[in-house]
Amino acid sequence: MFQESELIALFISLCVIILGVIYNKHLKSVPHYKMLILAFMLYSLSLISTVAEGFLLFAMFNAIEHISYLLSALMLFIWCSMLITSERVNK
Amino acid sequence: MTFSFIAFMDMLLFVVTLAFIIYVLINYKKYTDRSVCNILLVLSFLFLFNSTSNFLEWSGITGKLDRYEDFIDVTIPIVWGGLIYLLVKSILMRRIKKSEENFRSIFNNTFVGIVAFNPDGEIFNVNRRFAEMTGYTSAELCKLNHINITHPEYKNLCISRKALLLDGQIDSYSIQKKYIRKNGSVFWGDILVTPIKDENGKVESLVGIINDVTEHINMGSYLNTNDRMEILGQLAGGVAHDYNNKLTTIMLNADLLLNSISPESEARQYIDSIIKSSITMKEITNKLLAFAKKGDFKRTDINIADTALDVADILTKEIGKQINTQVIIDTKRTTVKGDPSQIFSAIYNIAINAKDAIKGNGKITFTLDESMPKGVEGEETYLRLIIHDDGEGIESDIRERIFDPFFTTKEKTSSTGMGLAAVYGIVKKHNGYIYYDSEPRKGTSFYLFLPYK
Repeated sequence: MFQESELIALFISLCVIILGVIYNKHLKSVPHYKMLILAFMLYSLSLISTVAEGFLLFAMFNAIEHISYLLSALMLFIWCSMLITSERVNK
Repeated sequence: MTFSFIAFMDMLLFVVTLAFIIYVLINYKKYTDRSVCNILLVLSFLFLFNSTSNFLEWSGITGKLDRYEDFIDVTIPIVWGGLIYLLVKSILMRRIKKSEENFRSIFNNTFVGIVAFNPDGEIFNVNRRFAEMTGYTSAELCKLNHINITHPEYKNLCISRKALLLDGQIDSYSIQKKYIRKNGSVFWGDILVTPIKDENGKVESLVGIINDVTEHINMGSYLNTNDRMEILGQLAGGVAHDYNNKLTTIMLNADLLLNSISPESEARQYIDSIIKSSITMKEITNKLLAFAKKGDFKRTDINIADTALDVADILTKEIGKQINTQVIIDTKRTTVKGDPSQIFSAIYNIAINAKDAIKGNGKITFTLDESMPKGVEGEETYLRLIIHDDGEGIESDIRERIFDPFFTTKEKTSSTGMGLAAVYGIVKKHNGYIYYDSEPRKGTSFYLFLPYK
């Protein structure tokens, strides 16, 4: 079974995706925005997997959830370091 | 297998997140946007907590932290949303800042002056160029009304045009007017005024774009005068030449007639009158010939400083202490090639006009220096003599005609109107240049440029 908090998190995540689509034009101006979007997509995938694991293929979705969570943090870390580098270059 | 793999993943997540936090903290000062940096730290702490909780749970150590997981699960996407919002905001702010910097740069570095004022005329923004034009600082200008720096002759025109603009009868207006600088001097400006309206169509403020056209106006009148003088010179030269020949015949015959009659004859007084009038006419003809750049011309060294001193001396003797004369010599080379009597006549004529322009007490200054005439390029150097008086000045409506032959503002009986025309011809004959600058009731400056060679 799934928890309510997981569904709420997924809903908020969808709202953030919609926000990203609306401000797509401005978001593209963020340095290395693709890396940031990838990080968020991986995070969203982990949320989807969390909900999905309550219905079917628990082991697989659980593994996907944790892997995508890890990759999401990793991507965010990489994006953050790239942001610092690009700011240093700009200065 | 699944259990250990998941726990391992969570452990890795913990390590990555911890490294992330340390990295952000180390580079905290390097981030331009601190709010983005702060929210990244919040996000990474939430990740850290989540990974710790999951690790402890999946490795079977404890499940106590699980009670906070609901809160963390909901908070993380909110913080993600906050991060994206702040990034977009940061980008937009940077764009606005950049755009404002670009606008400010264009605003200040354009060659035209820009002034913004409210419907009452109170200035609230000016660019650097306009401050340079007026001699005020931007801060000083922002305390003034637009009308304060407008020449009194143009105040009514400006007020009426602005009223039409505010009334919506015209969309914009463009006028050529005089401005008063901080030091009291005047410059000409072409101004285009356009309104800035609010959403209801009401005029909020006005923007004026000003182009300093002082040099163009001076140069323009100078060139027009030049062309006109050339045509007049040709005409006057032709007439004066024939006229001079006939006048010589009249004077010769009058002389012969005078010698052929008895000393007691009544006719003698009539002949004397003919001779006197002929001499006067001869003088006028000589001036006309000088204007036409014809007549006798010697070419020797002339010391302009000495000539100016001589003229000043004669002037002082003629007019006494009522008018002060001053000669300033600001050059070591004071000698040019030319006809000394003609040059003396030219300087003297200008000085006489300067004297006549002064009502009551005043001052005439002769300044000698080296300078290039406006619009003249090349290696040739010129000696410049400025004859300045603080007299009545020349009214704008007659400025274009002052070098015309027979043009005078004095009594016809006391002036032939050939003085400045002859000066013009003499200067031209010496390959020189002459122009002037005048302000009604402030004075006139004549600038004579004579080449050294």
